[in-house]
Formats: sequence, C-alpha cells, structure tokens
Amino acid sequence: MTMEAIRCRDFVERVTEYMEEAQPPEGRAAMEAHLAECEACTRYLAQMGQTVAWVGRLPLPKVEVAAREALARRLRGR
Amino acid sequence: MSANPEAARLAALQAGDAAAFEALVAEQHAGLLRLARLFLTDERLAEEAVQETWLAAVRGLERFEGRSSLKTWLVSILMNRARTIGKREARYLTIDFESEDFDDGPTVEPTRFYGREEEWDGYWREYPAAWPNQPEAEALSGELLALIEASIRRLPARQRAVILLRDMQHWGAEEVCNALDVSETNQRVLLHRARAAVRQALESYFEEQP
Ligand SMILES: [Zn+2]
Repeated sequence: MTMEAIRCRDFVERVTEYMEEAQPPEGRAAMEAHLAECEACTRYLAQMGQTVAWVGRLPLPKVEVAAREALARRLRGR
Repeated sequence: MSANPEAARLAALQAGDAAAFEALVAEQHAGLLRLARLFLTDERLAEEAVQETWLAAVRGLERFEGRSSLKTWLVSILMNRARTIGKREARYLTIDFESEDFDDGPTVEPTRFYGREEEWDGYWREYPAAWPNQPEAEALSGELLALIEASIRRLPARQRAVILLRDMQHWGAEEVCNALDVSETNQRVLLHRARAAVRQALESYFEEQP
C-alpha cells in the first residue's frame, strides 16, 4: 500500500481536521504515521490540545441573580 | 439528542411558563453576554444587544418552529443585533462583519520549516519549545487568562465567534454551522485558524518568560 507522506509543514495545517476526526481513513493513517516518527509534531498536536483546554477554562461573565430574575420576569410579561 | 425536551421547553415558553423563562435565562444569558462583548467594546452596547436579543426572541417565540435549537436561534439573533448596533455606533464595533476571514496563508510561519531547496524540506528547523507544566487541577494565572482572551479579541470576526462557541461554550460543530450560517468545511477552517493563532500567542508568551 502506498501512503501519502506528510511533512511537518502540512501536518500543522491539518491538525484540526485530525482533532475533529474529519479526515478519510487514508488521511488519518498518514497523520498517524507522521506522528509516530515526529516528536516535534507530536508536541505541536499536544499544544493545540492544551490551547483548546485552556480556552475552555475562560470564565463566564458574572451575572447577578437578581438581574437575571428581573429579566426573566420582564420577558414573560411580554 | 432527542427533539422532545426542546419541544416541551418551547411549549412551556410559548405558554408563558415562569420557570421555563428563568431556566432559559439562567442557562443562556452569561454566554450571550460574553459573545456580545467580543463584538462590541462598549459594555452598555453589549448589554443592549443581549437585551434586544431576548426581546426579539420572545416576540418571535410564536413563530419559532424549532427547526434549530433555541440556543443556536438566540445566537443568530444576537449576531444580527450586534451587526445593526455596530452600524449605528461603528467606533464600538471590534470587527467588520463583511470582511473576509478565510485568508488561506499558513498558520505557522513558513520560515520555521526547512525550505524547498533544502534536504529536510518541510520539516521543522527547530522543535516548538516545550511549555511549562501546568497541572490540570490548578487554576490558570490571571495573566495567562488575560493573554488568551486578548489573543481571541484580535481574531477576525467569524474566527472569534467560532472559537467562542466551540471551545468556550462547548458547542458541537453542527450547532455552530447553524448559528453562524457557515458550511462544515468553513467552520473547521475558521476554528483551525483561531486555535493556531491562540497557540502561537501562548508560545510567544512562554518564550518571553524568564
Ligand atoms: Zn512533523
């Protein structure tokens, strides 16, 4: 079986497709083959994962309970 | 996901059920406000956009057919409100909604890879530097949070909306496509560019640390 060889420059642009599992099986296999031999891209992938995890921890704005309840009452009264 | 809980909730809202309104506001208000703040720099205008969104949603409840979920519907209303307010008070708008965000250049500086004429064409010249260990359970420093938020604010409009909904609000890809009216492929391209930009901002930040 011939498999498309991926270089780091291509890997970094396909990393989201890989994380989203949005590639056909051959594409995914090529990414995995590259990961198996490339420590730098393995690190890049991990840092993208870390980025997603940290973005997910940004706090939501605080909304006063009283303000929220007043809004709900106002909306229901419409 | 079953459509039934949504249908039951919609029926309760349409009937003016107090608890249903309170639950919906409790669930969605802070997220809408966070989204509005990414687009309108003035706090008063961001609040106005969210209030108008709720009022428009309530007025539209009768006609809402539940073809999209309530939360994606709310976000699409908010995006329209933000656009309208931004036209009126352009200096508070952080983005140009009409601008093209699909710049197709590379997300990693090309000079970081060996060039076409070199033996290792396309491979990293130097590994991306390792990041300091950050235990999962530990709270992120305020400085790091501020840096991440600032890097998101610098993104083009749609990239910002996509990363916010996907990674901050934890929506699924399909929900984001519906709310922002973008194709599946474009959604993924926008997400990719946004995440890569935030990763780069983090890398630069860690490099500057002693
Ligand atoms: Zn590589």
